[in-house]
This record gives sequence, C-alpha cells and structure tokens, in this order.
Amino acid sequence: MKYDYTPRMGPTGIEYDPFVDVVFTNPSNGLSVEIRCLIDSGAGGIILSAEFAELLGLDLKRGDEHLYQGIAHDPVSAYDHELMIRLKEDRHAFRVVCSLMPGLKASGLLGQRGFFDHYKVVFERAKKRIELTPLSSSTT
Amino acid sequence: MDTKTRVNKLKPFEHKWVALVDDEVIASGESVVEVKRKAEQAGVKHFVFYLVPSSAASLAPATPWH
Repeated sequence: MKYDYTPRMGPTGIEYDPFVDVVFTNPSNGLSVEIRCLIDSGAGGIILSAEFAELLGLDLKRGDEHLYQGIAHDPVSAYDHELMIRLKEDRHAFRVVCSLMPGLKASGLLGQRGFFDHYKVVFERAKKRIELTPLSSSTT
Repeated sequence: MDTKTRVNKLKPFEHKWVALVDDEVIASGESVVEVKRKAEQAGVKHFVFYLVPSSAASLAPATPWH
C-alpha cells in the first residue's frame, strides 16, 4: 500500500511527515481505537500515548515497565501491552507489544519492534510517499 | 483543497487532541476521553485520533534505552 506524506505547518513552512492511520485493538475485550501515527524508524518500538489505555480497557501499570530515551532529557517510562494492529485500509493484522507512555507528545509512533518487524517500509521522501508491505500476518 | 488550506485548518488545534474524519476536525479537547465523548455526542462513531503537533518545531524520534 502507498500513502502520501502528511503535510503540517512547521517552523520553516509546510513540512511533510510519514503519518498513517492505524487501528489498535485490545484482543482481550475487542475495544479498538484508530490513531494517526508517525512512522519513526528511530523509535525502538510502537509507542502510544498512555491516554489510550482507558479507551482500550487496559490497566496501564499492569504492563511491564519499559524505559525509553529520547533525544533530550532523562529516560521515561512506558508500559508494555499486547495489542492487535492493522493499517486502516488493510486487512492484515498483527499481534504486537505496544508501549503506552504517559506524557508522550505525539498520538503514536511506529518504531522498529512491532512495526518494522511486520512491514517492509519504503520511504520515498522525494515523492512524499511511503510504501508499506505486510510481511506475514493473520487477516481480518 | 490545497495543501496550505489543509494545513491551516489544524492550526487552531495545536497541542490538542482531535477526532478526524476525512481530515475534517469533528471534535477537539485536552484528552482522548473528552474528544471521544464530543465526537459521539456529534453522532460520529468512526474517527481517527490525532494529537496536533506544534508548528514551532520539527518532529524528532525516540530511541530505546536499556
């Protein structure tokens, strides 16, 4: 599947970033949310705002604690939970660990563990386009 | 809709959570729970959550620390 980069206003004018819409489902109760996430090859895993724990029926701190170091400040804690992920316009779904992070200043990041494990990701920045190919999965 | 118009539509919502349907803001608020409630009150059940980034900065990645 091919997706256009998403335009947004940045400090030097319009910037284009690789966002995609992803459906996250708690396999324990079927609750799901759709989140616009940044594909972030520099992130270690899939990181979501901890605010989604309530909507997904998760007890945030029952997940394993996982520290993340950003490019500034001290490492911050997140809590790992297993969720199903599916691109909005796709039928392939994967069961992955997602880290829910309090205070994350983004709705969601799609990083190496969990996302790049399951998708071939081709950034075509010159064309402002991303190509995502599922590597294997169950389908819904 | 041209790119500038599309981008400027989100400008009033910087740092806020929004519910989007086809890139239109259906609801906004300080938390996802508030946004979900407002969207559902508006009769919208299927939407995308997005935390609108600041226009004052470019985006930077996170990396794991062990």
